[in-house]
Amino acid sequence: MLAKDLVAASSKPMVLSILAGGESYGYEIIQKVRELSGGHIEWSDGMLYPVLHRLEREGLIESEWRESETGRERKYYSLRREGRKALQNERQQWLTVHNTLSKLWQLNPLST
Amino acid sequence: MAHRPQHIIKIMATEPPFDLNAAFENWRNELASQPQLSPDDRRELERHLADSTAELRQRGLNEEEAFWLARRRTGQPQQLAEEFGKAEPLKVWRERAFWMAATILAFQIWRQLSTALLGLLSGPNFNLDSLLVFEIVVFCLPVVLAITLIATGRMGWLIKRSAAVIRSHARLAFTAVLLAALSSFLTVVATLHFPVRWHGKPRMSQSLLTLTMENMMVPLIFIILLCLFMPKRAKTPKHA
Repeated sequence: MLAKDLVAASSKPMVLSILAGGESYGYEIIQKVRELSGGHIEWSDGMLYPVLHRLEREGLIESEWRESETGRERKYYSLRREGRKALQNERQQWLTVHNTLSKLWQLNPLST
Repeated sequence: MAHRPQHIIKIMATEPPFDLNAAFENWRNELASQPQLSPDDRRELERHLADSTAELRQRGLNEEEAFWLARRRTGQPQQLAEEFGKAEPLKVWRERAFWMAATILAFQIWRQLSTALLGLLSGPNFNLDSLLVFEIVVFCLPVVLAITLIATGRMGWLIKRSAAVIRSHARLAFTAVLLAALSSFLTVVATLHFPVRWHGKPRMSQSLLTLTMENMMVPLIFIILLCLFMPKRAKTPKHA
């Protein structure tokens, strides 16, 4: 189980990265995270939406209510240009942390 | 061999079938009672619950099991409201400030009205000293209590109930101004009726209107605060 602060801190780059791959909606994002992490990262459903709303307020993503395949409306989120820049920033920061730790733990560093 | 009593079998057979729509209606109502959740938030959460339920049904669970598991995973309405509230502390405080201003205003009007009526009904023997005790009990203590409760978030139930009543901002402001004007006017009438007993020095040259306006100054300040803090009405999206 990941520490709370780590889950909180990683939520922003994860959401931005997922949306960089194309627009999505809340439930799908949670599914993807669960899938990619092999079940190790289980975001509580209620936790994701405040994150999405915060990112939208910061101008990094935008939302739109659209009709889903089932006919009912759903709120879709997509990445904005500012979001892409912010994502690059997050990427740099996380890789810096990762590479430092990798050296300490004697693992192979990732290229930035 | 043990024989099951007949009446128990009857009770088990008459359990009502699970109604998915009713369950969702229940969920909607529970969300609606949380003031921190905007209509948009509530729609999003309901959609989420629907997606979650659908996915679990695909995995083989029946309607009832899927719904309850999905509901548990999504979280309790109370918890969700808290999470959403934490994400937008400004919205929560704005709402609380609105209610604090409304309470102070309500108490001011109440105090003015009750004092004026007391004065008018007591006649010339109205004593200003007994008024002090009256003021503290009827005005100061309840105001302090109410403000504390609102600031610490304990008046949530009142806010939920009143949110439905206060539909129009303009109507609220108009009603408040009307009430403030009425109570100020009554206070002035009472003052002029018994000028000597009231404040010691009778106001000779001021007209009824100026005195009323003077009395309305403080309530008006609070009405302005009320308008500033009024929660923004979220645009309700067209329903599918």
